[in-house]
Amino acid sequence: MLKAKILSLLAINLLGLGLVAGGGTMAIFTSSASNTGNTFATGYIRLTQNRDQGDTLVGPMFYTSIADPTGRYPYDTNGNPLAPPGGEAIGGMAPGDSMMRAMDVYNNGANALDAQLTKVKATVNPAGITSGAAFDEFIQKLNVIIRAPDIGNGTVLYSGTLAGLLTGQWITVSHPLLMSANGGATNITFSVTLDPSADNIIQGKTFVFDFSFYAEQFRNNIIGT
Amino acid sequence: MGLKSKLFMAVATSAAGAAMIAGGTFAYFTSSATNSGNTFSTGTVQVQLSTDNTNYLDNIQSINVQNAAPGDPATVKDFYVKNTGSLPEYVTVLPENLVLSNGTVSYTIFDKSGTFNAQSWTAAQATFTNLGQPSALQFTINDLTTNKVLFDSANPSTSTLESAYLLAPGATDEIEMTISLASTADNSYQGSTFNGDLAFNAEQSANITPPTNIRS
Repeated sequence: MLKAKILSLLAINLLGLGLVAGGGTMAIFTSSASNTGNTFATGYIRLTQNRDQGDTLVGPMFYTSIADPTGRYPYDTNGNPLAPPGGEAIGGMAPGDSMMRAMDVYNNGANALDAQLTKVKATVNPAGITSGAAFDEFIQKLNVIIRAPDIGNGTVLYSGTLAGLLTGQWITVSHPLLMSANGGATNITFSVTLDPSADNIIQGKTFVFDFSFYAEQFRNNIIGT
Repeated sequence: MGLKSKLFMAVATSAAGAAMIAGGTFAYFTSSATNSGNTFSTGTVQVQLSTDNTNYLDNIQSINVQNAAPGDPATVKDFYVKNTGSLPEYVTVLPENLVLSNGTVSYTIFDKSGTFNAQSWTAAQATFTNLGQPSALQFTINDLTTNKVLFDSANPSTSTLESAYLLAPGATDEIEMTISLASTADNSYQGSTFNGDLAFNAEQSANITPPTNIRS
């Protein structure tokens, strides 16, 4: 009889332990909450440009007029018998000629970041002469001044020969140019002068170049400070 | 861990940190934009000559007189100077290597640089004429467009050869040359020759100091 009681108690105790260890944990109240939709979007610097000869077209600043497809009078001069608008050098550049062209650069778009224009370069366009003695003479004798006319007293970004822009590397500008996000057009001018010492070898030649600007974020950028 | 191992780890950690800092400078957002196709065409300065105002060449022969005799009619030749370039230009004319010779003596009236040699001309006159002045050999260069006498051998001191003429692209200037041997020429002219060149030089009219003597 004693053995029967002991076995019975053990059975009950084991059952009790089983309830505590097993069925008890299934009954704990729980809850959860989520903070959803957290967005981490990066900003955007998207540099765009157009020329600004009063026409604000995406196209070259220095160009042959559509009224003069031969290119004999590339600078829209009033003296041009083909009578395109504007007025600069007659009959193509001659040593000593100067002219200025303008363009706009933008830092616009969704999530635009403040940017700073820090570098510039030129590259040779195969639409014109790309090498040789005349090419070498021209790039050494074409003086280029790049300005931001609306900044300060016309902040100079670059002043030197065209050859100095054709190194294959980005050239750091003299003064970084802040371009606020969605800040509208930043006007930039190119003044070019064909040095009076330019040699006869460049007569009757056509040279074509691309001009590029490089911008980087302003915030957290040591250059921006 | 021995001392050597500890030092190694410290160096490795610093190098990793430096690499992270250096790498960070390349992580800025950037963009670029290009204005392409900018065309620079240079103009041309070119002057050419023609005897018919149609076919223009760098070199022409205007006068070629053989077996001239005293009293022959004056040889008159017109030719045209044209700006066949794209830029306005000043054109000047210079007689070059203009030599009078009878096989015994020669006189360079205009040297190779186009400078008139008055002394040589006077000596030539003395040799080739005994009938007084001026010389029986006479030649003139006239600008018919402006009605200006550029050179007259009978009165060389009034030469206006140094004057420049402004030619627009495509424009022409008509020049006349005359040469004659007067009927008074004596035997000293027999077998003599008179030859040389007229050189026309052009330079751009823009961005230079204008010539002091521009004919119009």
